[in-house]
Amino acid sequence: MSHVTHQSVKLHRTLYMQQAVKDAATTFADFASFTVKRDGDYYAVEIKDIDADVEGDVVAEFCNFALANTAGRKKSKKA
Amino acid sequence: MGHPHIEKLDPKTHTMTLSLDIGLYPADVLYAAAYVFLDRAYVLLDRAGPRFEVHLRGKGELTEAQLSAMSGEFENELLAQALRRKVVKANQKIIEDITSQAIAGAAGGTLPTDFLAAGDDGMDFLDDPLGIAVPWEDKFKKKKDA
Amino acid sequence: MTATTLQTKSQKHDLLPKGKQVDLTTISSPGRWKPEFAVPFNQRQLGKKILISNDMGDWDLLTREEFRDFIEGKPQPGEPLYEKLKKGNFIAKEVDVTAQAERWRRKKQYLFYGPTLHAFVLTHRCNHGCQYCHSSIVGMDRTDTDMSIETAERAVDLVFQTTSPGITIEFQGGEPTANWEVLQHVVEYARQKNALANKALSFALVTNLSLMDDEKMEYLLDRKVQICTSLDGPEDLHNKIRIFKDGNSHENLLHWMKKINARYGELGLDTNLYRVEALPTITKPSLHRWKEIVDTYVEAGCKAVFLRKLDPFGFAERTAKTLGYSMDDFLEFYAHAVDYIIELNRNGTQVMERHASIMLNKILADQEPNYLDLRTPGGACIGQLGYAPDGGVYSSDEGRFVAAMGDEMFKIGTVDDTYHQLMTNAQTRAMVMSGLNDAQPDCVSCVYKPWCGQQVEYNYKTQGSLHGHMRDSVWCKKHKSIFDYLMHKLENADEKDMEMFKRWTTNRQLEHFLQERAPL
Repeated sequence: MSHVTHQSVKLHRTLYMQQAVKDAATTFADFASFTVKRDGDYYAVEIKDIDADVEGDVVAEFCNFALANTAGRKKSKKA
Repeated sequence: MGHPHIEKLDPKTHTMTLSLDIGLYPADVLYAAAYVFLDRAYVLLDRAGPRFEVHLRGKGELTEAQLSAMSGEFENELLAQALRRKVVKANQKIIEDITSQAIAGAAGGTLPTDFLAAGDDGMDFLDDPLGIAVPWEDKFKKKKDA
Repeated sequence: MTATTLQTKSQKHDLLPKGKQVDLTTISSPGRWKPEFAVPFNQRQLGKKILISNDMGDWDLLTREEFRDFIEGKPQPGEPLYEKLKKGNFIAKEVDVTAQAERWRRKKQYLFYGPTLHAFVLTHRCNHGCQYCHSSIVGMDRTDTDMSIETAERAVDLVFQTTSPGITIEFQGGEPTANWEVLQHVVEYARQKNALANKALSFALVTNLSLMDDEKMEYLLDRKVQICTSLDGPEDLHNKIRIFKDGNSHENLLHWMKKINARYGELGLDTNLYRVEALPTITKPSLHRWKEIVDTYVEAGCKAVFLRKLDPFGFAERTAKTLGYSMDDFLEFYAHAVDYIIELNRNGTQVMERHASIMLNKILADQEPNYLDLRTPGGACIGQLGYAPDGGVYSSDEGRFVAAMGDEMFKIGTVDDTYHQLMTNAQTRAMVMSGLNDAQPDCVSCVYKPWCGQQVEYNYKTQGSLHGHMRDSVWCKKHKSIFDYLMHKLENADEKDMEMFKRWTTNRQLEHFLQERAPL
């Protein structure tokens, strides 16, 4: 079961592509620091130093980006 | 094709968890359906044994009725994407035949034939060698800059 | 449970009817589907009808029952629905592949050659201080920001390497007429080169007309340079946004528009066709003044208004608080303005809106106008190139705007590179691949896919990547909403309205602006 906390999120490896997750981390690098590690069936993403001045939910937006990037990459490979 | 099951629905946190049997829909149908909700919800996909789980949290406040409607929309989107997938699987070849014939007939000497081939760098754009995914500041504007 | 789309602001009134996903849960069940019956199609609920489209650009509006029968493969030859679907190339076994290949090739001909539009930034100098200006403008004394004759010649040499049979060199700035000597040189040098190249060569000048004089005007007329300008609406609105310390920008603009248009008439040209092209940029103060803006264009004799949303580049971003607005606000403005334009047409005044015209050209006339922002793949690099004064070559005008903000993401080389290098490098490939509708998760299943497109620079600037995410892209929202609006209009159009919409799709070639192809 994935769970989101303020500073960590687990993304299932069969549903999220590694590069898509890394790209999402790069996108939000100005607002927090990300570490992506393999953890069994999951990518465990540690999110630290979240900029307190940021308007919005960095972790949730990061997850949306990781999903969108995955969907995009899978579509690109088929296109 | 079966319905997604509402595992959890909480208007207080405007969250909902749906689950569906892995065998019901292919993963690309799930991705396509989930993608449609990204503008108004935070979406997290997961697997729990033989089921996919879809965690949705509204970007704005959502009542119980709205969350319930969203569940219906998700199911409908799965159906629409599944229908599309089936039709594409059955008859995409017609479209491919049309484009192949069109390109073959028109290519002649003017088509830059090496255009899509990897150049000397041998890179695939999906590798993001250019750092395409750079920080974007419009949405996550800092309060101190406002 | 039925699917219900949550209401958004633009749905609260009938001004801008919004489509939504068809409620399949109540129409049919998967066990009844006959996927082999149909060619790949997409669908969208518009009011009571269901719009379907296919990759060839055919479309139809079906009733709920017709749509159900379609996906269940029920229509039989000879039945009206079958014949309608057959005519629209929606029935797999009835598609004439050879005829459709010919059609596809005609509409996608831009894929078979290189960039046609070449934007030359002749200088960063400008005498206007427009609040939304995209360009990194500088004062009129900064001649160091001018393009040199040497750089201009190298750029023209590069332009002529394009595999495109047509070339348009567009002069931009700053205010391009501030570097008049180089403008003239480019015109003469390109004409000279074309004596050998024999391409369909044309020139366009984007100017605020403030430095225009009779001598310049006569040169531009003689060399058949098309003139385009910016007119933001009535005088107070225009002058408030387009700040000109040396005079009344609006008054000067209309003076020269009138004078040049009169000269076209004196030259024996059809003045319905040959006119100074003017474009407004819509800012926050414009939003409630849609009627006055349209009226200003009609009074200035313009036959078209291109209602352009403020974009996220350059100064426009920096002044977003005073000039900016939401996409919902723009769409409401757009619908008001186009409703008014339609009303004017009904009362005998012929004027059209450009977005609508481009889209209707695709939808009604089955044409591909090659509008670079609305094609797939997008126009970056392979449809257009931008040339900076220092010789930098960019994916487009917008690519250069991003560079003006300190980000060289869209610089694909310099005028010293070869055409082959520019067209085949990794950046170009990434931009082309990212600009494909078929590579976008949302676009691929969108009913407007055959007529829509993307701008990778916009994706990058607003969403941080070339690909962007169409689902929450305002680019997507804008185009999808305008398509919805137009489809709603088409569905409800009477004979007179249809005649008007078809008139908006009439493409009369501006042949006068093509340079002579015989040796000079």
